[in-house]
Amino acid sequence: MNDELISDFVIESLEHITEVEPLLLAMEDSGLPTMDQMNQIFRAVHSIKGAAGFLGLGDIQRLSHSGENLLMLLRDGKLEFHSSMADPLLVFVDALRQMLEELPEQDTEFPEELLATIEAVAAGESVASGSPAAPTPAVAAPPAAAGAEVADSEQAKRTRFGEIAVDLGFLEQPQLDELLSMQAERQAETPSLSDLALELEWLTSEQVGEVRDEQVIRRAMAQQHAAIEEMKSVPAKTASPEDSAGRSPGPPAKTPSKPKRVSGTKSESRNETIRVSVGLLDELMNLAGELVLGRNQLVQTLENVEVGGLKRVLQGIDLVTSDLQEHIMHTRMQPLSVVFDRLPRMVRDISKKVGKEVAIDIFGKDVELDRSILEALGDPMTHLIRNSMDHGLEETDERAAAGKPQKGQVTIRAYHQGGQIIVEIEDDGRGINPQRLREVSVERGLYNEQEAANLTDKEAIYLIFNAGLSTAKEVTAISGRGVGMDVVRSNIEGLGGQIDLESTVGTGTVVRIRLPLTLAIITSLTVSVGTEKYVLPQVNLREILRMKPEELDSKVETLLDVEVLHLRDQLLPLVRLSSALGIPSSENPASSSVVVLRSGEREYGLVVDAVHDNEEIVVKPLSSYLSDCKWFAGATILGDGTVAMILDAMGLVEHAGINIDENQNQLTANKLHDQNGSGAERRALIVFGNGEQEQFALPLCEIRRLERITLDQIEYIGHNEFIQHRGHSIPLLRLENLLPVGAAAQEGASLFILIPNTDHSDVGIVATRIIDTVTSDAVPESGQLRQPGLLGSSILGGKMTLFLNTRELLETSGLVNFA
Amino acid sequence: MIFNSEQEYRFCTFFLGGERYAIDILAVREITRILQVTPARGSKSCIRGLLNLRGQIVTVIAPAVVLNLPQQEETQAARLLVLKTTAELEARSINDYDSSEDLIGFWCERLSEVITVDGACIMQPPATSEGLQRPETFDGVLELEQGIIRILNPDRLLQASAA
Repeated sequence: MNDELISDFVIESLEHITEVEPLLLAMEDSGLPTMDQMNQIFRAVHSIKGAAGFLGLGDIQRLSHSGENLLMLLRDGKLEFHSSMADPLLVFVDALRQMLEELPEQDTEFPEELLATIEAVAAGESVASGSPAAPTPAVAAPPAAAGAEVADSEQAKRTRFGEIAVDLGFLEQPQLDELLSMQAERQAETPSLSDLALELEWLTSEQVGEVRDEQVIRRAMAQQHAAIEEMKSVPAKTASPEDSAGRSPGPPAKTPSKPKRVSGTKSESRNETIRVSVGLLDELMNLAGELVLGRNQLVQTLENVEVGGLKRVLQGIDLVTSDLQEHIMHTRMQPLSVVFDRLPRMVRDISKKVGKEVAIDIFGKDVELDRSILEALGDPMTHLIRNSMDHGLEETDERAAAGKPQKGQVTIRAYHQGGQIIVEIEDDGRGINPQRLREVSVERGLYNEQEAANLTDKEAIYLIFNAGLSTAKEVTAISGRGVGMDVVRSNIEGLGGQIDLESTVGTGTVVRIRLPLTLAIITSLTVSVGTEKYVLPQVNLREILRMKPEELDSKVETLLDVEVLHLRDQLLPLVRLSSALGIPSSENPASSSVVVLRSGEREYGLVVDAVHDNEEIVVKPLSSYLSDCKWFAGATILGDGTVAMILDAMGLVEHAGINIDENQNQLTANKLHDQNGSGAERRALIVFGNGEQEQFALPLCEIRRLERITLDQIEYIGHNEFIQHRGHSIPLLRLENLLPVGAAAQEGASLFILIPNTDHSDVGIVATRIIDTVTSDAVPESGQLRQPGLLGSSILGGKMTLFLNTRELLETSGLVNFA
Repeated sequence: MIFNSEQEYRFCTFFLGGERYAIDILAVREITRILQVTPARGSKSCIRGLLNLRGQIVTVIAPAVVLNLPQQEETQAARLLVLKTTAELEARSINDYDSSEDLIGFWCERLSEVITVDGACIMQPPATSEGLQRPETFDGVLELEQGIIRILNPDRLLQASAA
């Protein structure tokens, strides 16, 4: 048997099964299947049976046949659907899937018991006899019609157009007869049937279009069928006549179910797709990247050549190349439904196991992600949902006591935000108790009681990501062993993502996963030591400190044989890239920068000579000859065509032989020492001034860039001010225009522009002076100051400081369009 | 690899450590100038680094280091012998050699000509070769007028670089 045919069959059948499963679940839920659902399920099982029969896969045919019988009885109303039937049907689907997955080997033991169960269900209350219901009356393709087609294909086509229109319910049979006779009368002008029908307004043009589509489908099917028949050159098996009735090019069988089946097939074939190997796509992606480089070189080479129209041609090539690359990237994207569609089934199974009623809502199935990320997302998702259902959601009686609806709720959401994909898993359960985690962390010896008590609630909750910590009082079959959240976290971080957690005791928990759109392309920062350039993934990046070498030297001291830098109130271990990798460093570099990197729990500073731009790079894997160089995460080709190594933050620090954990403890101790126990969150703030008087503060994490500009860089359009920034013009936001504060007090010819992290276009907030960056737990009090853009005020550095709300500021400014 | 005495073979010859070596041309994907190699710091000494070959990254290996040959000055004449990958060999049904999944290039000091020889002219490498490093990487020896040419087995040379 042709392996390719079988593998196509497996792929298609698995797709069918994927369609069936949610339908069964919906039927079980409602207890009242709609005709549509029934038809869809029946059709799917029927196609599997048909194809299996044709390919001679007896077991699959036999099993699907029994399932089909049961479904047919249900569909035809001879048997009433009952929720209890969902179980055997789901088991049936599973068994079918298993058999399919093991193909081409057919050594799966045939589930005789299941077959018996299904037959029993079918026979149980069936009004029809217990014997398998007779298959749909086999209607062989009427030879007359087929003959007519060969003899006079034109005529056959017209007939078929009419037949299909009748089939789809657009025309009545008498109307068709009338049309045909009219056509015969007007032989001279030979109007087409569709024109006639349109003329008489019996059909709308959409309907004609639909009929045409259908015609194309049927013809394709007929061709396929003919090809299959030819290949087989064996008389059709029992399943085939029925099959051919479904695909016959001749007039369709006059069974009642027929028109519906046809219209269904049509709606499913709306999306035209083909299967392409991922290898080929990768190759295309590679070539597109190469094309970009080629274009750059072309532009460089022809820069000084004066040929009329050359510039326009180059620009054209430029645009097309970028478009091409983008589209090829898109081919690797798949919707999240690939992962999400199997969740309802999983939730159902777990809910039966843990004895809790759980409803699952899923939003954002059509958000698209790179397939490699999707594949790796399944396991962490499963784990998180299990956690939510097992630990998060309370027992039914506990929920009742808390005044919550009996049915627990798990909500999955996916959406785009700032070039990333966010996936949220929310439950309305008991939440994570930080107190409990403090206790557990003391029991496990992670902290002493004092330290544990000093942890903020948020820090305590984050302990859940540590290996071996679980709040579950008992271990269940499903979860609670405390191995898990740490694995989930490392999985997500391995994908270049981040995981975040919010929990309120008594209300529920939200786990938020941030993922890059694609693994192949990452945002990165290029740094250099001597003449060598290296690339750092943006995800690991915390901040960049630029200082003169002597300034760096003065701030560094040696602790436990490791250089550490005093950074605000922390001690940051340092790794010098030049010595870590043995790079001949340039003598007396004019400047040096410390790039603060974070990898998992650890933070350290990487000393480099210079920091260049961030750019989007295509990650290329390293050959096996470099696989033991753990300090490299891959390689990439820079804009100038040279290869640059991508540094692995974790591997690099291990290679440098620095045990950060030891230092980190020291750091944590420092941090705890600083903590005044108020429990408020400490955060880094940038303090700046604009007018004569006021002092403002913004959380540092909300600022993406700080730029110094000169006044003459400001350009005007009407009353609006703009600056050019990295090839974009960005509008400037003046605080005095939005808030009741003093006008900018200009000092000298330069200004500072704070560019916040926005999901949309950039805006620059104008400041005349940058005062300091501080870490503070000050909570702004709103008082009468509260107004859009202003959170309130607090004392920082002995001076009253206005705390700004970036998002509100941008919103009220009207400079950003929040879609 | 055993050479059939009734068949003709074509070899790409080049210089390593001042002496002539050869690799079966069937195993070679292409030969390219060496423009800019990015060092992979901290890797094995025989790995010179990575090179961009029209958008694909080639790992550059120095056979001279693997074979412990005397270092020669680097000149403009240096060339990279890029090997076919396993997949490329398979696609062309070349079964005499295995290769790597990744693109690998051998750094050579300078290229010599491509020669065609009868299998009968190829001599087995001496079983005990005094001073010869990595004898397992040699498939045979050619004695020509210009001198001796050693035939390298690309596959074994790769294994020796990985070891």
